[in-house]
Amino acid sequence: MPYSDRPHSLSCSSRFAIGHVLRKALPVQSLRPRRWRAPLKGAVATTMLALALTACASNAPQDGFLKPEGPIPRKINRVAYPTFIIAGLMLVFVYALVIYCVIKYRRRNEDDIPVQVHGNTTGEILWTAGPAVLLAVIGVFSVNTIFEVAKTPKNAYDITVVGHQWWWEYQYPRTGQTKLNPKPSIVADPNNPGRKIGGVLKEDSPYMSTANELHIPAGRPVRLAITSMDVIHNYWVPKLSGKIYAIPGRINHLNLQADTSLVKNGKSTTLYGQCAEFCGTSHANMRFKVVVDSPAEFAKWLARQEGAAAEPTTDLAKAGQALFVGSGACASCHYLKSDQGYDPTVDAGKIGPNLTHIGSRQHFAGAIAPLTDVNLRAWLKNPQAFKPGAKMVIRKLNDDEITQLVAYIHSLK
Amino acid sequence: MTLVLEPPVSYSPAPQPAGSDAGILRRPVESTKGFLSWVTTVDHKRLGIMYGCTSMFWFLVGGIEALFIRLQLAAPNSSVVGAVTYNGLFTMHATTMVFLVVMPLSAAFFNYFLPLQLGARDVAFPRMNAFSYWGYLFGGLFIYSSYFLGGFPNGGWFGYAPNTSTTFSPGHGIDFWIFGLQLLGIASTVSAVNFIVTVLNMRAPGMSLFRMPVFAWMTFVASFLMLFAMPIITVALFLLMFDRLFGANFFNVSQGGDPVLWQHLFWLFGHPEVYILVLPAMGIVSEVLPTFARKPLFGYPVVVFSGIAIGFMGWGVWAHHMFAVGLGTVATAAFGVSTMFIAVPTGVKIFNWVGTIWGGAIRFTTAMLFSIGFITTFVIGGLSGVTHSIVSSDTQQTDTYYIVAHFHYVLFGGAVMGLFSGFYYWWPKIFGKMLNERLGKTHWILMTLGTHLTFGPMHIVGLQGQPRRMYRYDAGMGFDFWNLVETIGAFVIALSIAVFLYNVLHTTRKGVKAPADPWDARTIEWMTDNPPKPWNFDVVPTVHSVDEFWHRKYAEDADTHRMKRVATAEEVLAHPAVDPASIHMPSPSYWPLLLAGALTMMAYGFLYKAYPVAGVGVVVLLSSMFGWSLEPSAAPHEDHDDDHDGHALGELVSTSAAGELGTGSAH
Repeated sequence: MPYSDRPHSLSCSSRFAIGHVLRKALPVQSLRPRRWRAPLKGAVATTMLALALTACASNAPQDGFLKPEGPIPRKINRVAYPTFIIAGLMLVFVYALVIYCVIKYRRRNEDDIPVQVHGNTTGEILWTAGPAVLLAVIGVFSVNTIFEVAKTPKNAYDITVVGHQWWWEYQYPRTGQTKLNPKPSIVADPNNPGRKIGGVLKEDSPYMSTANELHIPAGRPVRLAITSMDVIHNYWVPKLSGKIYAIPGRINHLNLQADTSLVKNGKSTTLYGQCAEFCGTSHANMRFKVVVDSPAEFAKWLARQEGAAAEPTTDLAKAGQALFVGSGACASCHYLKSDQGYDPTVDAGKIGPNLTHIGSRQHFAGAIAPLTDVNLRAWLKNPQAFKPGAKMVIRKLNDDEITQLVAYIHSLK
Repeated sequence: MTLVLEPPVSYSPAPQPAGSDAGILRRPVESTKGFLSWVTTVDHKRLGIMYGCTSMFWFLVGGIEALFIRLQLAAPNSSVVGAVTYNGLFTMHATTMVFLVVMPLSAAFFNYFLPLQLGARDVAFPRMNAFSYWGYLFGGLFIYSSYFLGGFPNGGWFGYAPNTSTTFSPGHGIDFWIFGLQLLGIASTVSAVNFIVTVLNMRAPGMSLFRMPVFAWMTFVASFLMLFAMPIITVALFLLMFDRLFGANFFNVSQGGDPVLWQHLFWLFGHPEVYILVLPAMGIVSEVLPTFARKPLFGYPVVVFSGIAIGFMGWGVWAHHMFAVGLGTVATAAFGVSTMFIAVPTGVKIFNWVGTIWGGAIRFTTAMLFSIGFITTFVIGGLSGVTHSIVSSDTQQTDTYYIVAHFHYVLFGGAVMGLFSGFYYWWPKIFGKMLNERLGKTHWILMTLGTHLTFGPMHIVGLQGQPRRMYRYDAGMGFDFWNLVETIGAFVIALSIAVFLYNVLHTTRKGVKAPADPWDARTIEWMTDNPPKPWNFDVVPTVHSVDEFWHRKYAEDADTHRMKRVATAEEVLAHPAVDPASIHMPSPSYWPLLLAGALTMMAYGFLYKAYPVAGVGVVVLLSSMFGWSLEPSAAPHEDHDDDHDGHALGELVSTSAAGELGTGSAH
């Protein structure tokens, strides 16, 4: 017979379960279990330690699972946590069974022929029905949460969100307006006039347009209407809500609310957001920030954003303005009027973010970089090196021109 | 079935026949050796080996892509590869691993072992089987030719519209992806039909459906899934192809098209596809566990029915890939609940596998370790899958590394581990040599360690909000440490694969010759030589139970009521000599190769809008179909070199046995 069992040398006295199992699984004589035991134990210990460390990791600004900052992710976690715990217990249970079998039911010798059990009807009914009932119970809570999270909150503040490759546009109702009413409209692709794309918004009430940084008042429910002007994007602020796709031609809604505790002594908090659906070359660079303001601060911010673009005061900035508005220059793609977002029924060429108050923003270029001189200069020198695939077309600028433009951009508070 | 006319004989230059097959495409009936014999073969075992080799090649390619991905992500904001390259890498990694590795590697096992487990001499349609292989080979080469012809496709393996439209993805990358997947889809559909018919028509005498080994059952279920899933992706790809090539507007919003339609079609294919990928591995595990626990599979009918249940329920859960799409509360709730309940049959399988080893006499061979490894990693993927079914929770986790962790636990820790288990278990059957067990166990340890190091931390960074498909991430997001660990893990996996390849090399050179029954196996694929003769069985066994082989070796002791060995494998396998001339095997053919080649030519023609090239492809296609349908499955007698035949058969002929056999048309 070719069939032979190797003798098991079980001299080791350790009762450490995992090491025990692994040792048995190892080719015992050849690999010398004693040598393997220490590194294996080490690996297990390291893993445990690392897992413990993760639990207290505080530097994860996109962690909506352990550190939500609004009522919606907390609502989600109320059903998610128990599910994770039950799943964890099931995992431990199955591992315990497998480990038990592996230790207990090793083959002793060639004549060790177990009873040929073909099944156990009671057991099989139990482990079919048991999990089914358990899941049904979880299902009730899960379904309940779906409806709860989707419910339109009372007194919600409306904001429209438009995804572009690779930045986010926000349209706010103007002061005095309570609601926005975005409607999809079909327009030609500005990059390729022969072909039409769809899904661009047409607001039927006055609004204010800004980009990359979403300001919201703390404590107030916000209802986002989300769409896209090009490909499918996915809007996600992990600490405030789950994800929702931005789909051309459709409007999806997402509820957000930031805790009032995020504003301490009137100081705003900035949260992280990110496009989460692959949307082309610079998908990784389609980020955004959510600035949680106190209601008073938010009202001030909104009033300022609604105002006209500031006139430059320094010579440098004035020269920059001349460059900006010149024919075929920046202004052919970027608005300097706050009440106009991307609306090709008005001007199909304005495909860039609204820059009326760019100087007041903390970040630019899909919120991947702080709005500093160094970053702006790098961007204006070569946008595609700064952000691969960026749609911004710019002629080669000399250093003086860049200095002037940077001064002008900073002046647009 | 009457296949099978001619036993293979060694090559000798054949005289030009008088028949209709004369000329350059004369049937290479005599060549059973050398390159030509592999190119024209219709032997399911050779095709199985070809499937296996090809998919292992792509496994290395896809693995190297994965290593580049992990290198890029090892540190924040690194620049090993750029954004465009990275997007191409993850697109090709997924496309490769799904379509060019796990599916065809499963098909390799289907090919080799389905007929053997059924007691058949070949699959139902041997030439179609060859065609499936060539379609697969050319489809893979076709997609990868994009690398040299303008760059990889980079729209993701899911190819969401409208990002894959010509507006947002100009160039030919996406076109290569579309046409390549179409070729692969044709190959898969054809082989699905082939395996289904084989199961239904070619089983050994006495083998009712519920006496089939579980691997054959899972092949059967997976083939049905393929049969119905591949047409859906085919339709979706056709719509996309028409959008791209002819300016149609299926997914163009402005013309009333709908990008979400693509997602529904893709995932209506894509979710059953997941089960296509994992069911074969489940089948392998269900063979390996009983063998090495020395017990029958616990609850065989329940395991089979849960497999069938997964096959049915797999069609009702696709929208759980779309919980963030905005399908509405009722739809997402319904799909959330259906997703929850597909966990039930999966859980049943896991408990039945545990039941199989419970009370057994377990022998820790490498194959067994991989099967136990399958259970312990797959269960993690299964349970994280349950957490996805909590819809609102999934809106947090979808498109993050938590999902990447989940499906790698299912498809790498699950499917790939199961397939490796199959390698170690069936290697002696395929090549007649034993893979080295010590190297095998090293492979297993490294691969298990690597799997958990690579994909375990992805749960953590996923929950911490690291999104997928990003070529870079910033420092200070809490992702740095675990991403480095993941990269290290990926290289540990690479090392484990290197150990496996060395094992293969070592075994091929110096491996121990496999005995008749190396594992004390239970099912009938072991009731023949290692490797089997081209006609598989000299005498097709009559089947009385699932574990036919086992029951011929062991019987209950009347006194103790314990099982006791009553015959050695050699005794069971002994049978009167058989005249191979009485066994009729299908003859090799050029047509499958030509037909697959013609389809590939058409794909290039349409891709470059070089319609004359496509036209030539169509002509070759039609003439291949014509030639194929006129060619009998077994070559007529005058095509053979009679002298040589007689000589080759001389040693094997036994006049006494010929009469008893009668298995050539037993089904």
